[in-house]
Amino acid sequence: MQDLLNSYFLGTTQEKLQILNGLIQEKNIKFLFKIFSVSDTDEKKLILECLDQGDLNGEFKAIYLEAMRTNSSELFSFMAHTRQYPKSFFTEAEYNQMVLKALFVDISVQKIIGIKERKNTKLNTMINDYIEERELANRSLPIGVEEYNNLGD
Amino acid sequence: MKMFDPHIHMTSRTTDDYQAMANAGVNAVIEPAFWMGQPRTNAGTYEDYFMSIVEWERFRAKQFGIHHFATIALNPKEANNLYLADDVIKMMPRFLVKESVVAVGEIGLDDQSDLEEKYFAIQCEMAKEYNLPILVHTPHRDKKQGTQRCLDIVKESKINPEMVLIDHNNEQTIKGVRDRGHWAGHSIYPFTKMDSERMCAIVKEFGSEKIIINSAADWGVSDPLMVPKTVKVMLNEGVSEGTVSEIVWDNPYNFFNQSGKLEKLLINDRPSINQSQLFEGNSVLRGQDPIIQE
Ligand SMILES: [Zn+2]
Repeated sequence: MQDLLNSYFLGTTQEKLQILNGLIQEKNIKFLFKIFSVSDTDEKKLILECLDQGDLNGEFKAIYLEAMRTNSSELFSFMAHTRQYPKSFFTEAEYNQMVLKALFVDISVQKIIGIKERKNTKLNTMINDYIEERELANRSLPIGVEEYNNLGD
Repeated sequence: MKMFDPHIHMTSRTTDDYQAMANAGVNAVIEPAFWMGQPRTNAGTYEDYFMSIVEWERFRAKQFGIHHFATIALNPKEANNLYLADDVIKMMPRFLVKESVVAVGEIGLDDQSDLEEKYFAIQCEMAKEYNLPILVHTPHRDKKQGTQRCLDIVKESKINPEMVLIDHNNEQTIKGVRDRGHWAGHSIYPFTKMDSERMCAIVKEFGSEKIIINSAADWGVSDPLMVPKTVKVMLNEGVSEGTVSEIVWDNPYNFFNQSGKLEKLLINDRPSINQSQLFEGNSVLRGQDPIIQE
């Protein structure tokens, strides 16, 4: 296992892409997940990009969901603002969590891919609850709330 | 007045914090197992983490005259990791029986996913099996619905409601929690959601029954002195000493003593300090003169 990981991480980007695409074709989620979990931010982006292009049926969604748990707003906005994957494969609940998280890390909501199409009544309720909570704590609202409310129907 | 901080992640704090807490009057802490800020990559690191919070961290705390206990669990965030969740569940029993482990926790919900619900329910069963109370983490996002969902899962598990501490409450959630017969924890954070003044207002409105406060201090912006600071605010605001003491000592003691373990370990107000002691050859000192009370 360590040998396989080393040969991946020591490879060039081209070689990495080859291995990643191979794993996607083989549907080897377990090993791809392992590689992902020990990747740094840039290396993670490469994997997410690869999945966005190569995983046509959303079979590796577990990796995207894991990536969504990041504390890095750079990685988070990379997924939310530049990748089609969440829009294509996230369930309503998963998509809603992504939008709420965008508010928490204070990044743009209107830039989230698919937000207009995937806006839903549950999400409206969640955002209203969130506004109420912030008001109880006397805290200002992140810019994303206004952006969300301005999306229209 | 004796004080308990029943939710603090000391493993990410310094010895200065321990010293300041001891000086401010904190006698005992509980360290719930939680996530480390970045996802763990394998179950093995969980084992080391559990070991460190039941052994090494306990040793550190004692060097500053603070009693240290732990709770053990697969946390809700990492319940989503298919490749480690089951292994962590399998290693938990041998930690749950350790003398200083006083609850199963933090369990609960984060993203409110199906996997989180699954492992939450599994761990409620384990708590029943090992006769331990549970410490439930409620989500920071979508708090209202998320807390409700936590209460429903707890109810489905048929665990005794008295054995349940629901944490991270606010004005919106406290009533529902106590109506079900659970204990209500409140994490007091500097500058944010729940500060000492807001907590004081909650106590004035809801009383002290089954109310618990904690600092939830960890590796993020947080303050390990939030319990003593909130005590001060409550006393200044005219809350009686008896009521305050109930909130910061009796309640957490009574809740976690349902494990049967606190009464055996918390005989003295403070553990006596002997900084000349070593843990596997390691000292908390770096050339300073050890304080020895024994
Ligand atoms: Zn915590």
